[in-house]
Amino acid sequence: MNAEQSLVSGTAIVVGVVGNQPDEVLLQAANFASHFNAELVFATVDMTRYTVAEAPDGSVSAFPIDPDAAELTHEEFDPELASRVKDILDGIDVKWSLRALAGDPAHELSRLAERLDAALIVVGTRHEGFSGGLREFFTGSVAVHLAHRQHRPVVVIPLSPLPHGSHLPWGHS
Amino acid sequence: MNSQHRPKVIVGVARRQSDVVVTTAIDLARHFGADLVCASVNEGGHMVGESADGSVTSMSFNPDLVDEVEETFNGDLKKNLDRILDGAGVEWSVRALAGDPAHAISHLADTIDATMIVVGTREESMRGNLHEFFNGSVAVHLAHNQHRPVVVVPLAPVPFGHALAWDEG
Repeated sequence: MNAEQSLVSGTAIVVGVVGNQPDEVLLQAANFASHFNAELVFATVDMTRYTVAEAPDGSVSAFPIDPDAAELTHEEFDPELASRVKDILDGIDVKWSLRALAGDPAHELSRLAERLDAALIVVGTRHEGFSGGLREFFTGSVAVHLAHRQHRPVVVIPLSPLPHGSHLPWGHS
Repeated sequence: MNSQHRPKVIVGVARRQSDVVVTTAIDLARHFGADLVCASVNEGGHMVGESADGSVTSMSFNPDLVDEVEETFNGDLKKNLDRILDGAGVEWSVRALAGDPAHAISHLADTIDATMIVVGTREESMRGNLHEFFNGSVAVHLAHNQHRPVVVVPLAPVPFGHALAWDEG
């Protein structure tokens, strides 16, 4: 079966996937999926392109933002990332599929969740990138946007948590 | 199964909070075969003692109130939970905590080895500016200061393309 083509028939859980994300996010997502008897839909979002067409299963065709490279193509899931997902999920009894999206990450994950009527959206916190300051952190945080821009529950998997008492990056300095 | 060994889902509750936070927590608890632990936090005190089930004794920050007291769960809040949880098909209990909300909930999660923590976002009127929002957001603190999954229940979401409170100024 080509995982990228499969349609979700029952409950879906959408998972935002990025290349350097710890395995923990995928494993926790699989744990939620097995308790919900749901299919996991792993989605990447290409921020250098924008969606122009969308299939019923949520897969998309996109244009590059760069006008010199203006060619409409079907978004493909990064093969290296796909094989990593496969390795991590190997031996776990959960149905899963992949979607390659394009555009603003929070917006596109939210649209996919809407299309699949997903029960939950799972994302990791960012494990780098506090150094840019509060505003940059905030406007770039997919989790924060999902929590304020759409209505489905967002499962945030904390990555490299700071101990209580240590200052958050936007804390008083 | 003995309730002590069933998984636990913690949900942060407060007065005037939308019911959807607790109903979402019920849904999660059912799917995980878990008991629901509804935790409220009194920010006007600090914890001085704790029992095995996570109940706490606290002292007020008010220097005129020097007695150590057992935190008690707000009566109206309890009534509201009775209304939502009655017949919901999950075992549930309440805990009255004290101190910084994110810290207190995270501490309870460690004490009872919770599977996850469910919290709501703050409603629009409470969002304020970016700094106030961030420093007051229990969800954001939980997502960065402890390691258990945090389920954030969006309250009054603002559609994409519309400004959030902190987008202005």
